[in-house]
Amino acid sequence: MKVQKEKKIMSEKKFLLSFFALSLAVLLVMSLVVFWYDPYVYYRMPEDRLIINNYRFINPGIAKNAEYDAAVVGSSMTQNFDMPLMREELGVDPVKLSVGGMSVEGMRLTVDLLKKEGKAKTVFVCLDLPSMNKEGDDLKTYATYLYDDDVLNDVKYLCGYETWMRLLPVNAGFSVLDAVGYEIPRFYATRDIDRIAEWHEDAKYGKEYLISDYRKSAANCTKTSDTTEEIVARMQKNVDAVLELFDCAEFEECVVFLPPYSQIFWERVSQTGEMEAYLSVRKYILSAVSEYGNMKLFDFQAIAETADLDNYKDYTHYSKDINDLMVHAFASGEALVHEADLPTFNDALLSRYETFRAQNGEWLDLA
Amino acid sequence: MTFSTYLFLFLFLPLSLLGYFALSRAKNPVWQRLFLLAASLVFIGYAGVLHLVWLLASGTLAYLFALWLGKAQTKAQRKTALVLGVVIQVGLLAYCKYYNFFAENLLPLFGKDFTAVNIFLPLGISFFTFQQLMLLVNVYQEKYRVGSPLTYALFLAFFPYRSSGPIVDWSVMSEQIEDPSRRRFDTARFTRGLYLLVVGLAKKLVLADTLAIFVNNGFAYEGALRAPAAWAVMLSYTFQLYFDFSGYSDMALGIAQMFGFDLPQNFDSPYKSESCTVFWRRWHMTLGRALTTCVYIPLGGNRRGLPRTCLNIFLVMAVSGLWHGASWTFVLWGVIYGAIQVFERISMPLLEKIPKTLRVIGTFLTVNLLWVLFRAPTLEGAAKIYGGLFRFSSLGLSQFSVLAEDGIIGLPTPLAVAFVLGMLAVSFVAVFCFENAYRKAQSLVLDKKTLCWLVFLFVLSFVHLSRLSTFIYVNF
Repeated sequence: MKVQKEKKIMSEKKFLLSFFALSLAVLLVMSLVVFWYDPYVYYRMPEDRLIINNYRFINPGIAKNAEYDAAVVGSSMTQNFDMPLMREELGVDPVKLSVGGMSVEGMRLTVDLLKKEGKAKTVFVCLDLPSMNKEGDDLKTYATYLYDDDVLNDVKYLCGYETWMRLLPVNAGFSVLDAVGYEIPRFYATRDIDRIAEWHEDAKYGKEYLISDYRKSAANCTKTSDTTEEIVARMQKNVDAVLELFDCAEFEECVVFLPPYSQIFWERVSQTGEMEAYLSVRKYILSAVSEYGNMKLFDFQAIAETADLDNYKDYTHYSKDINDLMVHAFASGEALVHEADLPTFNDALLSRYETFRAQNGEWLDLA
Repeated sequence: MTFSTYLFLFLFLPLSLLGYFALSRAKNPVWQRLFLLAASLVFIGYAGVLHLVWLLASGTLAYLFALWLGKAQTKAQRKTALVLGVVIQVGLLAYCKYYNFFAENLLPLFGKDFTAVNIFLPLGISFFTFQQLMLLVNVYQEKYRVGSPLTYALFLAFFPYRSSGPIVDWSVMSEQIEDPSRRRFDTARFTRGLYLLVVGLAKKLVLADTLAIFVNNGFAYEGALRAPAAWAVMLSYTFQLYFDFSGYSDMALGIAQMFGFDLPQNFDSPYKSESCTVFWRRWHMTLGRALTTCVYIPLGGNRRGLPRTCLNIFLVMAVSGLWHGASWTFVLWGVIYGAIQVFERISMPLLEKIPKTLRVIGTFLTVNLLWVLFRAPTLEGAAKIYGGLFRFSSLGLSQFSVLAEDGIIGLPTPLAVAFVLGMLAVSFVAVFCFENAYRKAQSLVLDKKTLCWLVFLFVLSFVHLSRLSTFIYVNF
């Protein structure tokens, strides 16, 4: 005969005490696991371990725990910079703290952390013009709790959603696969913090992709409803906000640069009716940068490579060769511009754009 | 301040409970009530002082009219007090919530241009307006009278139900507020409350907020959704809305129980209903009761023959549609439900011959289809999802990657499909295979299994707390 096990019923008081004690114990154990494994490198840099390639969560840890004297800050335009090359060419020891589509507020978070840590003497700052042309910035995709010293909100890391439901299981899974000899693609995880956020190995470059994309998106290309004055005002406000972040004693040198978009980008800007505003803001940037003693401006927007579409994966994103070219230019001073260049600052860009148009007008106009 | 935040769960709620029960030793119950009122005012005021001012102004007016109704000598005086009281309450609601909607639709008829006006929407206005309308109607019908101003103020502001219901009648709360046996800490009631709070948290944070990712991406998708993705979006919203609102209601009931108050049940496994009529008896039950008191019965209810009953049912559902939001999608949604319920009323003997399982499936599908209208910002937006439901030209599984995208991590298609379908499967099991949380709480077995389950849900919810979101019904 089967004997049915009788359920052991607890008193309410015992149930409540058990609930609170057990919940606390589980959360404590979870916190200790995260503290020990530290998937975001938030407490220490690991000796030799795969780090998940998610810069949004890793950057604060790198800024806090890595050894460096320079930092690269900006959008995806900066993600393929070669750190060893920068060390070799520029004599600095940099870390990369870039975030795709980095907003002004995102940059503020990063720069505030850099200032607090006080390690970076030189900063390389990308002024990405489309990012400057945005309003209503928010930090929805930033793990803001990783950027401050508030121990209480570390709970969002130790027992948080992104840690436990996403990064920790994936990171642990990668570590296991790595341990049994499976090679994890660098796009997902890496041992080398120099290579966090890199995407160039997985990108496909070529003129044919850009032309195809240009044709497909032609129908959606509409004139902006904003006036030139409105666009200029918005962009100037954002530029000022960014430059002010670097106006401090912590940064001995601030290398600001305008990234080399493809000439199709300028064609689109022209079609949307924003060319005049962008040209005006470029000049504004040069005069604004000139006012800061610790800043210099490099302009790569008119270089010959911008007309060779085989260097691009889309209108704005260029190959690593172009990043390397920029590093060489930082070292040699090529592409460095001064306040005296202001009257003719846009000439080279306009000339490059018009030549590009003349040479490619057939398919540019047909689309 | 919403329930599912660190601030509420680990600071506001524990401090409020501690203060409240510490004062239970005071001989005069007024101190305890005053403390709970103050805590509630802090809760509301945290959203903005204007919310507080509006609630107090609207509540004071309703209280004065309820006093007038109670003291009025003649029927004419009573009628005047009722009509004035109702007009003021409905007028305030109409101004805050419907001004732009009516102006946008009516002004062009008179050849005038419409410019949207930015109007302040007080927290929980749709809920406290109905609460006050019920009070006025019931006092008019001499079911009860209002009590002391302090009891009334606590009834009005009690924070567990202030932002999104349940819509509680004065008779339910006033008796409990003044019941001395409820002043002391009751371990059994507190345990039941904790159970409901944790289950509600899990429904909201783990299920609803995850499903919300698929829903938001699906409705924002600019291309043509294929059938698998469109069905996934529609089902996700059906489950999201249920877990969001019933999760909130569980939390509200649970928190109230921790303080010693029993609030009325708001959800009774509505997706297991065998008709839309039954569905509306089991979904947002306290709104149904409020609409019955304030609209259906004053219109004559079912006492004036079948045609008039059908018209009354139809009108109640149309009002329900408009209550949910000021847009034509809500109106159409309510009107369609009205028509369906009239149809069910007339043909119930015939419908009852269909096997119950088939009726449940049919009702669930109907409710699903109508939620699309409820969620879509415009009729065109709804048509886009409806069109997708029948777009079988290709599977379009890559669209699941778009549905699962949340701005931080993109999943490859197979993982995205597994994630979306996995969440839907869990939701399906939770809705159709689990016992209703409210009923389960009433006969809670305090064994190790329940303890482990509750700890698991709490820890899982705690982990999800770092992901921010608001409750859908706060918007209504």
